Amino acid sequence: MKNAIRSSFVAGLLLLCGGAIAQPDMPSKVSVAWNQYYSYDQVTAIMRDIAKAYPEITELRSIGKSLDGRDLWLLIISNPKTGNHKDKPAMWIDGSIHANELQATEVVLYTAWYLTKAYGQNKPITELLDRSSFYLLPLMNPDSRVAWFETPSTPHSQRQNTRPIDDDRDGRNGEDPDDDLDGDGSITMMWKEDPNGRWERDKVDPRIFRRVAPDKPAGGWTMLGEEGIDNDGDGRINEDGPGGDDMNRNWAAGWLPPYVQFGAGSYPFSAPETRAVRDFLLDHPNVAAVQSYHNTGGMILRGPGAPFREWAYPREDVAVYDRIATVGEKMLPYYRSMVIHKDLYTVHGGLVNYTAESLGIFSFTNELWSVGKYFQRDGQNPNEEMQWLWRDKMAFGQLFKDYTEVEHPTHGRVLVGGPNKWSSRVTPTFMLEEECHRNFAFTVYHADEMPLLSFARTSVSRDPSGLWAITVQVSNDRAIPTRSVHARNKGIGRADLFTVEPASAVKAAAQLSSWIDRGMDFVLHEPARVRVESGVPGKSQGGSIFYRFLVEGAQGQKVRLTYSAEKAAAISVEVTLEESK
Amino acid sequence: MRRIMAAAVMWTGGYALAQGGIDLDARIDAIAANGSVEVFTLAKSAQGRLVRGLKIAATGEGAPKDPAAILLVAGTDARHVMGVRTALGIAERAAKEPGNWLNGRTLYVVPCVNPDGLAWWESQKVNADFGRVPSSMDADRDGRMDEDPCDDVNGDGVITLMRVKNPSPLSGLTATMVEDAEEPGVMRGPDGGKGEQAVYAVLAEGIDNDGDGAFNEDGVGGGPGSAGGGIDLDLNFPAHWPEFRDGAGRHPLEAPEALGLAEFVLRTPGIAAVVVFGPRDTVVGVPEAGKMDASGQVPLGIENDDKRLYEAVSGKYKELTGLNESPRGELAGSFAQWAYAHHGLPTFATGLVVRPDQMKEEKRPKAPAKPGVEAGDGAAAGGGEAEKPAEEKKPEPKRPEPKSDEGKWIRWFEDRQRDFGAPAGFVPWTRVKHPQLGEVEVGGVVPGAKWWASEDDVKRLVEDHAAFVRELCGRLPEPSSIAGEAKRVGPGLWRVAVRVTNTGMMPTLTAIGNKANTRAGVVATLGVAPADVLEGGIVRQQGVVKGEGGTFDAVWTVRAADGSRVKVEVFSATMRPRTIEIELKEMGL
Repeated sequence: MKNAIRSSFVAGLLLLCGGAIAQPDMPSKVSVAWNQYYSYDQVTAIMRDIAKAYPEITELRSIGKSLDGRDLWLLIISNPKTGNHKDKPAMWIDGSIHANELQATEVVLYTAWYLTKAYGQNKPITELLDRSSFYLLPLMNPDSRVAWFETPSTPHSQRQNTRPIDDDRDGRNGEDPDDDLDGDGSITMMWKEDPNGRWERDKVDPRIFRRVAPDKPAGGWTMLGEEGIDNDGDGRINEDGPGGDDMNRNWAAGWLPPYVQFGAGSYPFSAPETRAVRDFLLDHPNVAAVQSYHNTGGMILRGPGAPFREWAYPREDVAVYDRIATVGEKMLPYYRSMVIHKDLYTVHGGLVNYTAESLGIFSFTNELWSVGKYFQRDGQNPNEEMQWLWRDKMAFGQLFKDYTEVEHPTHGRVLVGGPNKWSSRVTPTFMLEEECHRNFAFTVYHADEMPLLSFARTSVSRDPSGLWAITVQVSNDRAIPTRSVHARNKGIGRADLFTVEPASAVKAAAQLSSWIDRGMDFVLHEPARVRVESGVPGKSQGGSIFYRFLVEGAQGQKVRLTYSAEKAAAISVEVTLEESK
Repeated sequence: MRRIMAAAVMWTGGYALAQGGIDLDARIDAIAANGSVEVFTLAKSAQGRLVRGLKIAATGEGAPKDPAAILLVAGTDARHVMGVRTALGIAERAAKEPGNWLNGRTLYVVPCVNPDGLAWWESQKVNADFGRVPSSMDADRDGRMDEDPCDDVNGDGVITLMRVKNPSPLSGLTATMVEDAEEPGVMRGPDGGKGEQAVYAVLAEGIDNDGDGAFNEDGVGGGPGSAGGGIDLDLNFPAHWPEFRDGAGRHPLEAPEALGLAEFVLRTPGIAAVVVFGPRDTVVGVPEAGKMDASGQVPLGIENDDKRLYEAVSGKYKELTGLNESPRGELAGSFAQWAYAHHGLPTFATGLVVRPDQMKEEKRPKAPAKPGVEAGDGAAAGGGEAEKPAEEKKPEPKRPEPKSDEGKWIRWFEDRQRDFGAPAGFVPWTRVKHPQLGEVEVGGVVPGAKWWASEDDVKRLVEDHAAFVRELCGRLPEPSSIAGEAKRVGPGLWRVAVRVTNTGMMPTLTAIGNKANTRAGVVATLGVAPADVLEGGIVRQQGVVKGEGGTFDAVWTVRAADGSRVKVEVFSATMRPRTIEIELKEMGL
């Protein structure tokens, strides 16, 4: 008995000291519960706490203000000791450009929380953070998140920003929003008893309404629509609510005006939030990977958003996307990799369309949460019975507002109630941490595939002309090329630069197609400063480029070769002019 | 606020056009001294100049009661100085007699959207064919900025073109053109059918300053065929924005001037039509109707249903100005196409200046009388050629009439130099030594020459276009004729109808305006409790109410006491709300 107690005591001691027994996870200096959703103030506080707890590797800054004047908080995570964050490839991750897509914010917060706590404790994450940077913007639409929490909403509102828009063209803005007639904080549905109504109420469970088939007799109920009254007396209910622009239609790639693309805003980047992000991205051309979180559906999406923009996704770039997305599908059960316009719907002017098509960045947008995860056994869509099992026995009724009778000013006695704003789209809180972790892990994988360059081989030989021939192989050990083929085709961003110093020593430079290639594609001008328009391809597409420099110099003289790319950390090597062994 | 100094650059010896500098701010201030004028600021340029505009309207008794307005914009392209001058001239006229000119409307004038560009154009001793916002950028994305602008290789004061005959293999140039045998000076692609082969490489005048093998690829002032840098304001608007094109900017409305102008249009109520002076034309040649972009919904030209309106305005414009033909310029990315296709306003763009052969004879510029010719000789009559008295006439060799557009321009440049004392418009190809290319020939159209006009021309332009603006003012929609009636349906139950008639020529919204949904057509609101309206609600609206007597009928069935009065408020984007009161009493029983 005593032995058992002693050994368990020792085990406990060891556990406390993080000693010989491996910890399953690393503690963070910042305590955050991942089974709840946070308001704008709480999100800000968490970011501040993380920045304060890990000052050596974080920087918190506001990149601008929302329409209503709230800060857009960005957390930069990088190790300044291994270089400025702008000199390394960076991953940009944002969330909740649609404010109702709540869990996007938590996933990005979790990303910040995990990266900071793992740095210095976990080898792969430490190495990743030493060679790359993270730009994390958990909440791009703070105004509407505040509205979602503080005013009655549905799972689908407030998606847009708060800019007043005259939806019904009557000269007034937002004069007829939804109304929370039963005061439960959610906008649910209104039902009216109606002998000619095409809906019937379930005889056993009065919460269930079902549509009646057209050839069957009337069901006795009519569905009036979302909760609300005719605030402006124009005969319509809830036709002109608050705001606004759909900020995920406000980006400049393939932007089309609101009469084609609902919610697009008056012009691309009309919203201060999208402008702020744009300006940051233009200032940070080192961003080589983007993830923009949304809900819902369980998808790993890439562009294009419209069939007539397929030209922006050449075959070689699609191969890179597919490679990363395929791994993502494995890491994220119930998520499928899809192309926005082909598999989802048409989107003109979305964020990832801009980052991929205008900026040449390999970008994904994940739609978080899939209802298939309710029971994880029954395919994608649980039936009505399973839905109620979930609501009643897993959520204990917290997702459904029982019907109450309300006296409606124009419809008379109506029933108000139904699934509330937590009932769909939003990841159930007890499953939130897993959702966060899996998506976080996918973005770590995506970030890990940003370009990583090295001088794989260099060799020096004497050319019969008396010059030295330096043959160099620059390799990229990761899937993402330093320039996408699309970027190269359209002249996006700066070409890679291959420089040799001293410049005066370099007499000629040529590209080779392989290490043993005898044919040389000569660079006609400035051989000491070669512009490599094609960049270094990703590993699965060859992953290497080969150059030969013909240099004049004395035996034993040293020259310096430097290869720099916007989306990779520069590499540099000193080469001695002597025959390689 | 920096003033653009009146740098009257008279370049003596050299081809750069006399630039009698426009002191833009001084002229705007002078116009603003009129009581009928308010000055507003749209934007601040990158170099700190303000983009300013003028709001002109009658005051006192004749002050407009409604916000209906016309917007006149010029100077998106700094080379189009005539546009700036004409817009200023029109503003001056309207400001002096707004009651006379504006027909009770408001006129917004933005005489120069691109003050940085204008200042650059006027201050350069060496003129390049550059009208953009002169912002520094890495145009060729090689990590350097402005490292290789154009150069005046032959020292003639202008940047034109260079042609290199049979360029050497190591020059990096490829022959693409031939010189037209019949029209000397005109360069064109080879006619394979005639067995022609390209002989000349043609590029902008300059040297390879940075030794990278490319000529003039990065630097403000780049001319034709070079990257040039800067932002072309008429490539920087969102409609069919030509992404990735040199000069289009990194995204639409990147230039603060463009953004400011767009924001001004969006927030200014009452604008019913837009007039643009610049290198785009939508009024001499009406844009093609019914052609859409890849989405199938945004017109590349105009909507089918706007064709009639555009043709009517075009006819009137051509009548007033005498223009028959005008180069279109491409509309993608332009302010004019954004104002139309995205913002939904009828927009009439014109280049103002064309060749005489592109105008009606009676409107062609007349050559001033030559010395030694008596007045009344008829020397001032005819199509621009001074008639000499018989004894002075020397037999002139008959030159073949030019066939190509370029050839016609070269001929016109010669004619106007001879007859009007105009500055040379074309630099003849002349051999010169080039540090890298050996022997080259420099020549080509003098920057700005195609839009040059004499002082007399400027006066004529102002008159004709002021008349056009005045004409447009008179055509704006006028949905202010409102009549109401009531008909008894039963006790305390009435059918109330309001008819709004648009007596103006233009519809309340054009087809594109109705599609774009940015401004209200006609909205009628019945002033009763909503519960008293039996069908629908209290608001009725119609986007398009046709001009010249088109009507909109708003009908309600309402519960109201017999003999009571109900009010209906009617408003439109160009009209302040008006209220009509209807007595619920049957008429004529």
